[in-house]
Order: sequence, then C-alpha cells, then structure tokens
Amino acid sequence: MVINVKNWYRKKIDEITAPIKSDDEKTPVKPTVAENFKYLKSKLTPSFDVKYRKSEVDGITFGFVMLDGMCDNELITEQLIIPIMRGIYETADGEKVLEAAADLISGSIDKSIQYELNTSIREMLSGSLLMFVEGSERAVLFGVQKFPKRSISEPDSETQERGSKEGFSESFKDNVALLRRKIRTPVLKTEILEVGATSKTRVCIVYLSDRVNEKTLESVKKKIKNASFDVCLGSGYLEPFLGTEKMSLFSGVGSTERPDVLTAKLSEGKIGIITDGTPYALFVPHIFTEYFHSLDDYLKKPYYAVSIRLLKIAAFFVGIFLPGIYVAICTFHQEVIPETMIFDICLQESFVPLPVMIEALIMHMVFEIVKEAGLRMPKSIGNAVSIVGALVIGDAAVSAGLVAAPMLIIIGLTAISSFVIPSLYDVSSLLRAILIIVGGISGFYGIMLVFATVIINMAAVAPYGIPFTSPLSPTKSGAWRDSVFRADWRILGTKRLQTDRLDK
Amino acid sequence: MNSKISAFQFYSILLLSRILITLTYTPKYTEGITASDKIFQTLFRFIFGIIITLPVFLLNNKNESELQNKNGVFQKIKAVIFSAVFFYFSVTTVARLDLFAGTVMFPETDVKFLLLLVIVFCAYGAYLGIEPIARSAVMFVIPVLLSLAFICLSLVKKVDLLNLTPLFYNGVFPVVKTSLSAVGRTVEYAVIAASLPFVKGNSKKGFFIWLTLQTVITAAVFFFEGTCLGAFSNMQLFPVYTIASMAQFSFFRGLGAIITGVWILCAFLKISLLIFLQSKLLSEGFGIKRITVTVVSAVLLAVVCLFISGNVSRFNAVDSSLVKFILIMISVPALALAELIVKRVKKCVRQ
Repeated sequence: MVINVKNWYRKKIDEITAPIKSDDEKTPVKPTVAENFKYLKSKLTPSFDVKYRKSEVDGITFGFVMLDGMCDNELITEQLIIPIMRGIYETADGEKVLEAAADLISGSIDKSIQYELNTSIREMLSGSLLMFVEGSERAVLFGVQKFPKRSISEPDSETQERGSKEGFSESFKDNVALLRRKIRTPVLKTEILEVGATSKTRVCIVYLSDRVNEKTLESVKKKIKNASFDVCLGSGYLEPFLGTEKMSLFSGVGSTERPDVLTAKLSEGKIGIITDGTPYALFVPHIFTEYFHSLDDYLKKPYYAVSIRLLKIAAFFVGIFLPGIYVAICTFHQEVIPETMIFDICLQESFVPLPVMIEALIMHMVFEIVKEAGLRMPKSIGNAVSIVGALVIGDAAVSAGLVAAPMLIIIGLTAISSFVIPSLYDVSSLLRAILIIVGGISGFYGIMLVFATVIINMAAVAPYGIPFTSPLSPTKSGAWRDSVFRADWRILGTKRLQTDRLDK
Repeated sequence: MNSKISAFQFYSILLLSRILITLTYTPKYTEGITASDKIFQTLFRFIFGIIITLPVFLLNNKNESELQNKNGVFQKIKAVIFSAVFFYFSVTTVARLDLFAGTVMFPETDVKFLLLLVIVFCAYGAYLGIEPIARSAVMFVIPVLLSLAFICLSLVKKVDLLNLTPLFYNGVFPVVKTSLSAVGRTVEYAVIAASLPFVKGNSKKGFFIWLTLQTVITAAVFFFEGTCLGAFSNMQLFPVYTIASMAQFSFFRGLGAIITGVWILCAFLKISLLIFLQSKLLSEGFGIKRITVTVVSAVLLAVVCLFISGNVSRFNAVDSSLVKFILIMISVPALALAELIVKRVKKCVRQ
C-alpha cells in the first residue's frame, strides 16, 4: 500500500517535471572561423546580444565573439583589436598566428587557450572575448569583463558598530579580492567548482591550507559536486547539501555577508563557500554558540562583550518561550506569579472573547504578516504598513477589546527579542508558534517536552564530525574562552581556535 | 553503540535519571521508616550500590573485556533480559508521569494524548541515538541541579528540625529493607551493566562521583521533605512536588512548575535512553534494524501505558518494588557474575 502511494506520487511528480540534464558534450574547436561561427550560432541564436566579427590582417582571418554589455568595449578596442590588427605575422600557419596574436596582448588581460567549443561558449557568456584564427584548432579567451554590478556597500543584515563597512557583493571575484585584502598569505587557497546543470554557477571554496581539515575539505567538495539542481541563484541552494543529513531545525552551515567575519572563520580552520551572484558566503562547520557572536564583541572590552552575548542568549530564549509561557501561566499555572499581577492579567484577559492560546496565535500571525508586508513592499510603503499595523493592532484592537494589553506587550517584546539574532529568526518564529499551541494545551509539561526535543534535535546535528552544541556539550572547556564568554585579547591572541578539535 | 560517549556524558544521563526517581518517589516505597531514617538510608543505598555493581566493573576491566564475544548465545540472552528490564522500567516511568499529569497537573482532563506525545518524542530521541541523548544530558544537568538548589534554598525558611525523629526509631531492619528496595528500583545499575563497554574515560571514577552526588541529592530532598512536611509527607502522592509548591522566593509563590519542568526533562532523557538501549541491544544481538525495534518498542510502550493510564490500582500492580528488585538483581550482579565465570572457564580451557 505504502509502495503504491509512493509510486503514484512519483508518477505525479514525473508528469510535471523533467530530468535535469547537463550539457557536457565536448566539441573541438574547428579549423575555420566560419565553421566555428556556425556552431556558435546554432547554439546561441536567437541572442541579439551576441556579437560576431570577422577581420582580415595580411590575408589571415580572425574571428571575434563577445557578449554585448558584458565586456569592456574600450579595453577591447585599445588593448586587443588595435594590437592584433597592427601586428605583423610572418607566417600563414593559423596555430602560430594565434600564439603570436595572443602574445601581442598586454599581460594585464587574462588569456586562456581553449580546445573545446562548449567551454569557450560558457566563458564567453560570462564576459570573455573569444578569438578564433583561420587554420587553428584552438581559440583564445580574453578576460575583458565589464558588466553592471553593485558596488561594495555596507552589509544590511550584519551591521556593526565599530567593524568595517564592507560587505560582500554579487561578484564572486570581488568577494575573493575582499578576502585577499584581509588575509595576505599564500596559504589562502581558492578553488572553483561549478554547480547547476543549466546555470553553471561558479562556487568558490576558500580555506587556509595550513589549518583546514583535509577530510572536511574533501567532503565539502564532494557534497558541492554532488549537489543536483538546474539553476543555482544563491548560496541558500547549497546549504541543504552542505549541512547535516539528519532532519533538523538547525543546519550546521553558517552564513555571513561580511568579509571580516569569513576571514575570522577561515582563521579557525573553517571552509568558506562563495557563490557567484550572491552577497552571502557560507562556512562550515558552524556551531550553535557562533550565532551569538558578532565582530563588535572582539572590538570592545571583554566584560561588555560577555554581557552583550548573555543578553543575546536571553533575548533568543525570550523570543521563543515568552508567549508560550504566558499562555501556559494564564491557562494552567497561575500560582507562579504574584497575586496582584495575576489579578491584573485576569481582568484584562476577561474582556477578550477568545481563549488566550488563540489570542496569542492570532497576534503572532498578525505580527508575521506585518513583518512580511514591511519586508517585501517598497521601503516607503513598508514603513507605512508597519505604522498602520502597529496602530491598528496596538491601539484599536486593545480599545475594541479584541486583544488584551498584556498580550500586546508580550508579543511586542517577543518580536523585538527575536530580531536580536536575525539568523535565528526562522527557527524562533516556528518554535514560538509551536510553544504557544503546546503551552495552551499542556502548560509547562508540553513546553518542557518540546524544549527537550528541540535540544536533542540540536544535539544530533554534527556537521563534519563537529557537534553543533560544542563546546558546551561535548564539554570542551578550552574553547569556553570564546564561546559564551570572551577572554581578553591578551589571552585570546596567544593561541587560535582549531575547529576540528571541537569534535566528539 | 559504535560511537562511544564520555564518562561525564554517560553519568550525566544517569544522574538526571536518578534525580527523576528522587523527585517522583511516593511514600509507599518508604513505608515504615521515619523522616530521619529516610535521610540515613541513603548511606545504605550507597553501599548496596557499590556491592551490586562490583561484578560489572570486574567484568569490564581491561583483561576481561578482551575476551568479550559479541555474537555469542550469552550476549543474546543478555540482550533479551536487559531489553525486558529496560522496557519494564520505561513502562513504570511513563506510567508515573501519567499519574502525575492526571492527578496533579490536569486532574479534570484526560491525559492520554499527552502520554502518547511523550512516547513519540522519546522514541524520536531514541532514534537519534546515544550521542544526542548524551549531549543533551550534559546541557540539562547544570540547569536541573541549579533548579533543585534554588528550590532547596527557598525552602530553608520552612525547615522545622522538630519534625526529625531519632535514628532507627522503628528499628534497623525497615531501613535496610527500604534501602534494598530502593536499590532494586534503580534501573541505572542495569544501564551501567549494559553500556559500560561503550563508555570512554574513567568509568570507575565517574561511577563514584555519580553515586556520591545522587546520594547527596536524595539525602537533601529527604531532609527538606521530612523537615518541611513532617508526618504529613506520608499522605502525599508526590511529596517532593508538594514541598516545591510550598516554596516561596521573592514574589514567586509556588515553585511546583520548576519541578514539573525538571521532571519532564529528566523523564524525556530517561525514556529515550531506555528505548535506545532496547533497540541497540536487540539489533546487535539479533540483527534486527534499530529503527524497527525503536518503533515496536514505542508502540508496545504506548499500548501498555494507555492500559494503565488513569487507573491507580493498575499502576500500583505494575509498579511493584519486588518485581523491580528481582529484575535488577538478575540483570546486574547475576548476569555479570555468570559472564565472568564463563569467561574465566574459557580462559582456563584455552590455557
């Protein structure tokens, strides 16, 4: 029966999907420019932005193919076309002419000899100029890219008080350059892989070869190579492949928008993954306590950093538990709070026609709707939505007796707390909703049960052999100097953390 | 248990499991002895605990464990006996939780759904394996100990030393008898016997620390229960919950909710561990898939517990100190001694 249901569902999926195919066919470069152009046109037509040009110099035919809008036209004219056209070629042999022409080009322009047309097309589509020479079975690619891109700006999601204002951008080369600027050492290695059968998105693996765990590195490469999808539009596509295989709320893959944060992670022996076209870099392995770290912690006095970290942990728990606990107290455990307070709450709640659990759930949902609307709308309208939402929900709903004022305070406090660690927002939002329901049905009994299950779920995550809950459990007291606590730089600076030693 | 856990992690699970038993004990187990004797009997328990586990530690010393045969008939018998013991204790743990929820927390509600929820969540915990259970235990142990200390401190004002009686007021025999019965109710000795080969680190040292800590905690709980409640404690179904409900700290009026939280955390880990051990032992002994045993064990547990749920007489019939005593005495010292003798004989034959 179960098998039949599976087959039925598979058939339903097959009806509306197609298998992912990668065009990995190898076609050698043809000896004539016309044949090469013909092949390229068969693959690329219709594409108005692909430009084909033929030029003759001393009876030798040169063919150029480029993508309009992706190349630097000035650079092509001045540094490529003019030198090639003015060149003196003492032979008619295509191979020798191709080499001679390539040698005429300034060393500042990337050059690569190609034997295969499909790879050449792929590179040309990313902004390189492709050159053929009559009689040669090779082609040359010149790195003359110049395409519209966002300049390096301050990261939106990881703003720091005293840290650098640079954030990753969509260009992965710029992102690698930002890293290079921060770590000027030959041990910083960068390896490029391709993902996405159709998109052929470039993924750059960065690591420090003197401290990375070889097994982890191989595993990361293998996972990226085995990642199967058609188009990769962001680093988030890779996250499920790189994270834990167990079903968990937590993935064990970190993400950052800041080059300085990634630099710090690399220095601990972690591996960075930069995906072309996305300003977020991933890093593995990632542990739970890292969610509560920020660059500012290291730029301020340790006592202040510790207090901020403790505050963040408290905010995280408030963001998850507060509404559930409030519902549980109102429904089952009135004895735990002072009489005067419970009388006030009871009085306010008595005017509300809904049970506390439903009231909390509705408020939670309304808040999420306002948040989503504010996020997706244009900024000017988004602000208006937030204000209207706050006014309607805050004032009018309480006046109308639809919501109790204490509930409003609880939801407001929870919302603000959950924004303290934006990267954990999804988890805290989901858990909050679950705990409201559980708190309303079974009080502390259910809340503790869900809490215990979440903890064990978290403890089961161990990407690349590093438990997600380390250094708390398994206890690695040596790493406590920079986990919840943060020691002074005079202590921290003497030795660096080696991530692979946080294992079982 | 291919993956080993550290002695600290292992004994953290056992400590939480013991705390659960201490917090959920009912006066029927200590019938016939006074408040002071209850405190004193923890020392007897300490000594009996060492005696009962001595064969297990002898069996697991370096020279003996080299001779271990994982696929022998003896191992299969061991797997079956231990699984039965763990199943029985998981039934009593869930049933007691059900009794607490049905009588103290939600006296007017049917708690069968909650019971099923607990079993499902614990089965999930067991499915995840020993490492997540062990890591969770380490994370829970400090908050649980702090919560207990907090409750004890907030009870200081309520302590009345006049509630204590002279030692051995009803004679020595009842104290020894209840101590032996308490040892019989300690499934942790069976857990040690079943899982010691898979614990890395100094298990003997860990065992002594664990035994000492649990003795101190039990003595402290009995002290506060006896001095705060006096003879009234014998009339309570769950005296520890009663004293926690009496505790006051600042503007907080009752700390029963904290005990509930601690109870659930400890029960969750204990039941997960017991289901895990059943699945592990049976899968290793008979080659059945671990997930299959986990599911079957959880379903059986649910069926039995639903049968007991809401019926105190059924609970009393199942939760028998004598049965527990016999089971523990067979599974811990008797099995260990038998295995030790078999090994020694084999060794002699080889030589």
